Amino acid sequence: MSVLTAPASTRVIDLVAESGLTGRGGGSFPVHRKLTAAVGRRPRLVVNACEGEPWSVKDRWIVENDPGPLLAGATALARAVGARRVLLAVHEGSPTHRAAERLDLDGHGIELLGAPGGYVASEASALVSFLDGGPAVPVTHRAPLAVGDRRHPAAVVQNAETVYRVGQLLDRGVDWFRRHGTPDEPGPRFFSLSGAVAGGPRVVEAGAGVGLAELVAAVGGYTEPVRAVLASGWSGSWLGWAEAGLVPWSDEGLRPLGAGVGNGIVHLLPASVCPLVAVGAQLDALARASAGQCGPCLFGLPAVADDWRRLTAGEPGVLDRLRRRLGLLPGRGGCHHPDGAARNAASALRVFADHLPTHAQGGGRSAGRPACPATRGV
Amino acid sequence: MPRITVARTSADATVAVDRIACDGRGLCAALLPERIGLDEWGYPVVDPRPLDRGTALEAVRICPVRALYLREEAAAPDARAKAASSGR
Repeated sequence: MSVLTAPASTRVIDLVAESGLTGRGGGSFPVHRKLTAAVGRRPRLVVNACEGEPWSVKDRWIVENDPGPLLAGATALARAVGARRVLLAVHEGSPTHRAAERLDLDGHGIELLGAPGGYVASEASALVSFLDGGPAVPVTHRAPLAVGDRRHPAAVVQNAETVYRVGQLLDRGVDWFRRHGTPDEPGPRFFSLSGAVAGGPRVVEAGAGVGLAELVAAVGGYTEPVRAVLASGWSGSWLGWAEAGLVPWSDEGLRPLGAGVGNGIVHLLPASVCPLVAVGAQLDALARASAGQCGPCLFGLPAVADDWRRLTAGEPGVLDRLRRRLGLLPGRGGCHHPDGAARNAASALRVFADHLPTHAQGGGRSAGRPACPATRGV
Repeated sequence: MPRITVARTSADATVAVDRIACDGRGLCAALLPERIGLDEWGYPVVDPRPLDRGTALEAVRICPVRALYLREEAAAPDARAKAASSGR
């Protein structure tokens, strides 16, 4: 069947497949596979612009500054999969919500879905649950969401930037798209730079394989010495400053260091901040953010956050218990939330191994301030 | 389109947990200690190796909230037929 006589849906999906576009929301799943699974099922298309992490600003940037390709991409994808409804998901009352209300969504046949605040509400199955009249919490689905089941009909959930890139590549061509990035991780993508940079979080556009130095230079350099880098936000992985500067910022380059590009967050932790305090704040936030539906989140995350607090306070004998508990988080939750917390903490134990003894020297709570040389918290 | 039926050739199965339905009652671990342990809060830690199907089915039936299931039954036959008929 030639491209000229093929139905429009095949053409769009074929172009997306040829482009090699992978999801920009953190999962990096090949987009065409999700689309193919949904064809013939009259799915709901959900464009996820919720962006729950405070250090990620790329999806908000798209809605505020360049919504054209987002709307065009959504329209093309909706036709390609035969969507029965198209929705733009935002957190109710957020800046992205306000920006979305200024768009001509009606003219594009797109409905606005105002999801409740809270990190876990924007998880793909949580959005589908909410769309179908339930609470915005993850639901068990043994078949992929794009296939659907009796409780929740087929739904294709794509990150806003993913849909934006579809709009761009349909307009400018696959060759243009593949000129950016690497052969395995093609296309332009947004990175959200925060921490030791001026005016962060800020968006930088580049391709996978860019160097950290180049990303930092794009936002005017770093504002103070950096101790470590957090790749892909609070469910991502820590890297030491030196090693982070030596690898291309791609999944292939970061994999040997136990990290990935994920959602594009690049957070530069200043050297003046105590890393244990910084990680502890994130683990506390991750524990509070859980849907509280399964054991590992309800009990495991607060236990890990508590262990981390004790470790920071210099309490002896905590490390083994913490490692054991971290090992029991991945793959045992109703979604990947506990996996992210475990990844964050485990990578922190590696990267900040040299820093741990400065807290142990402080002794237990009765010994007063630990000997940590860092002067301030998060 | 004829209904596709799955021929069961293996006597083994693997068990998996619906983590959202599970509320840590532990009957599965009591019945299948060779495959299921409990964490410190009573939630199952599953050894993913296959086991005898009959034993696995007993454990699936004993869970009061139906949180345990056999992994190969996760994709029902009619869903596979539907996927096959969509032309791809």
